[in-house]
Amino acid sequence: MMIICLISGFLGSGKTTLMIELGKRLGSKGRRAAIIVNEIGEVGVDGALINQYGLNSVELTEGCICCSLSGSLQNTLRVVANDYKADAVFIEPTGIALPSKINTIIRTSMVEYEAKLGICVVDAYRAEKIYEEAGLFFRRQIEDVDIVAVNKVDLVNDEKVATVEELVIGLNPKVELVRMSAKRCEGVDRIESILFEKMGARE
Amino acid sequence: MSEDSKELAGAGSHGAELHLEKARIPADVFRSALERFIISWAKNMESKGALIGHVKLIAEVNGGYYKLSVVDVGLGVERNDGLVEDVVTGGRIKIMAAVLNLEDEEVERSLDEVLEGLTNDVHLHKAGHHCDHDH
Ligand SMILES: Nc1nc2c(ncn2[C@@H]2O[C@H](COP(=O)(O)OP(=O)(O)O)[C@@H](O)[C@H]2O)c(=O)[nH]1
Ligand SMILES: [Mg+2]
Repeated sequence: MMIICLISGFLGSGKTTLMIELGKRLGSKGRRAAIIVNEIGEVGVDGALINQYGLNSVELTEGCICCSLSGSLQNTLRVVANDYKADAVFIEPTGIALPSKINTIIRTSMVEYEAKLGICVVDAYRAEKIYEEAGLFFRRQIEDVDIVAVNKVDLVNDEKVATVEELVIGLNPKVELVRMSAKRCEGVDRIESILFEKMGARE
Repeated sequence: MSEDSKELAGAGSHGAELHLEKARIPADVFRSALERFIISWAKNMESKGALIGHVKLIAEVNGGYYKLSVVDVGLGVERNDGLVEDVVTGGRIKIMAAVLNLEDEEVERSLDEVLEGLTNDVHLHKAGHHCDHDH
């Protein structure tokens, strides 16, 4: 049985970068990872890149997986679970999707899974600006996730990271915070070990 | 796209696919033309009041790829260079932008405004568009 890892977060926050890194790490340790990407804008740009890394990806582009494509997401999950026999499937929704809606779709997909991990990637460099421009939306993206990855810490100082963490915790006191630079592959270990813990539970 | 999440975010998006055929473009010229294009598109949208979400493109040409991404004009363009040949002769380029504060149509219009610069630099045409002349 597989685990599901939902990687949500605003446009450009680093979801694909993190997912490729996690996919590579799982692959190098003999686990089968599958990737489902949903992109806004009707053309898939990231799928091509993910394939360049030799990872297995399915790209859903003709709509949104929380709405018109919810059926496609459910079908794809079934294929990935039953035919591909993935150990872990990563789902990257569009940068404006709400995790709570996708969680509902996963729950009603009738796909059996061992565990689910919800990560929201927040761009430390831009978080405050995005919160100012679209506060309600920012808050809703942070709801209903297990981990908030405060990403791009290479671009800001510690003080700024702390401010962003306060903002996040103020909006969702229950999340676990993980500081990272997905691009430099720093801070990814924590998430990798959580994934292995969840997968390992099965053996 | 989800009408409600798009509305909640106040987001707009647009994507397109460009085709390149029978071309002979030195790879460096190709790289810089794409970089100029993506930055000018991002700046054009900002000038219309957009908060950039993500502007990105991937060129899949001659068995290689070239990916560019802009999330913040202040930070500039990020490159992921997988071009394998010195001269680009053909392939496709997928481009897309998703931003806050603009409607889909405004994102599309902005693309049309800046795309001319790119098609002059590097001869290509939009998928679905029929070109009469020889390439
Ligand atoms: N400086 C920096 N840039 C990053 C980091 N993670 C991602 N990026 C860059 O941010 C841009 C968007 O990343 P991407 O993974 O495509 O974001 P997505 O839209 O959330 O999938 C790309 O140019 C990435 O290289 C990071 O930790 N530090
Ligand atoms: Mg992405």
